[in-house]
Amino acid sequence: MNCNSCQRLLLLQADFEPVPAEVAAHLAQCRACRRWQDQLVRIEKVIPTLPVPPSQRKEAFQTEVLRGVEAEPVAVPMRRRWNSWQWRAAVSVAAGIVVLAGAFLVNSLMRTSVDPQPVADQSPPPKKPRPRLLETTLTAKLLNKNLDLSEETDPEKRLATLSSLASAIQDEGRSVSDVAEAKDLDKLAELYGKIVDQGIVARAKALPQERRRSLDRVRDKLAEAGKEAEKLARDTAPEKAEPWLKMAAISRRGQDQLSALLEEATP
Amino acid sequence: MKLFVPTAVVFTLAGFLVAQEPVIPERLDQLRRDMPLIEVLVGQGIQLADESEPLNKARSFQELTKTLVANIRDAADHGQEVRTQRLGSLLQTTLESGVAENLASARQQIENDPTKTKELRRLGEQVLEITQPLDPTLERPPTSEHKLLQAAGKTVQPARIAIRKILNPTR
Repeated sequence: MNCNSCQRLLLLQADFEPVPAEVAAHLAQCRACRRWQDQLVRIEKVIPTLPVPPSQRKEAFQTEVLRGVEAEPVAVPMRRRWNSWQWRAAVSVAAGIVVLAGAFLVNSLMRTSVDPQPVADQSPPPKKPRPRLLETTLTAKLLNKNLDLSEETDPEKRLATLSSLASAIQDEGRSVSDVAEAKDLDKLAELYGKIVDQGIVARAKALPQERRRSLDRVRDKLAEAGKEAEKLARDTAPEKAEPWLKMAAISRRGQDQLSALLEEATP
Repeated sequence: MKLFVPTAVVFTLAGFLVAQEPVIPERLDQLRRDMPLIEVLVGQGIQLADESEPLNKARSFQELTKTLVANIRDAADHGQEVRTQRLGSLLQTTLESGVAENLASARQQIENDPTKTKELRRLGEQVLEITQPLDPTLERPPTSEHKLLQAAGKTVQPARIAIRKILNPTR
């Protein structure tokens, strides 16, 4: 006996009457059919507990069927009428579908009630990015950084922006280094020093100790800037070395101050 | 055909070298001319790094507006078309992203504070007054410097309108 025949015969069983020997033999060796039988038994048990919505349609349908049966009792071949086991099978399958759908619905409802409702996003909608200038000139670069500083509220991010502000000044110096006079570079070194001392170091000091860990990145950037300034001082004409040495000294001083702040914050 | 690849490589390299930003005296001239503005911008950056009040931030950009308008007028007086245009763009961004954005933020925060609301209005009106000489609708003599001013004024006009709307939202 194959699984198909076994399951069909199980469906034909009335109530919980003993199964035929051949079906029992198949069930003894087939795990899938045993599971199928268990499900069938569970469904049959649950059917009487299913709520049935009030309906006039059922009665009308029964009357209609009976009228038809009475009108042509002989014309309808026995094969076309469902006998009791066919009805049972159909009802069982329908009930199974209803039970499964019900279980799915209950499961969904439970999940909905147990799972926390997604909280409406209370954070403000993402801000439209503010227009920025194409960074072709130092003034455009500085204005963009200032707009970032105006928009940014996080002190660590502001420090990073100040650091890039200082880099912009140094980059400009490097760009014009060959054609500039010492006084031009000196002016840039002065501005660089202002940003490092009054901006970076001052803001770093204002950072609470627990937030000073991020200072290492700014310090490293200053260290790099210092090395580059020293290199430029070596490579440039002697009369223009002084502003670069000045920038290197400012970087080193800033680096030392940030290191001290970091040490203070280290337990 | 055999020469095509080496030739293309040579030309590509040459193009790459040409495309590198050349350090030209114009850049130095520009740096020198812009130095007063650069000093203002550096000072402003340091100040903004320690500022949290939108009204104060707007005031900081108002100060920058003054410097920029003065520079634009100077550039126009000297017939410096490129510089006038460049500064006009800087001013437009300053007004739009600096002044207007912060005035709008401040407005939301101080809705129930009549003193600060009054301060906000005064600040906005001052910015409009400072930029008034650039108003493109002003009648001007048809001189070249006035044409330059008018062009810069057209650039900043959307930002001026935005500020006016913040001051008079019902209009």
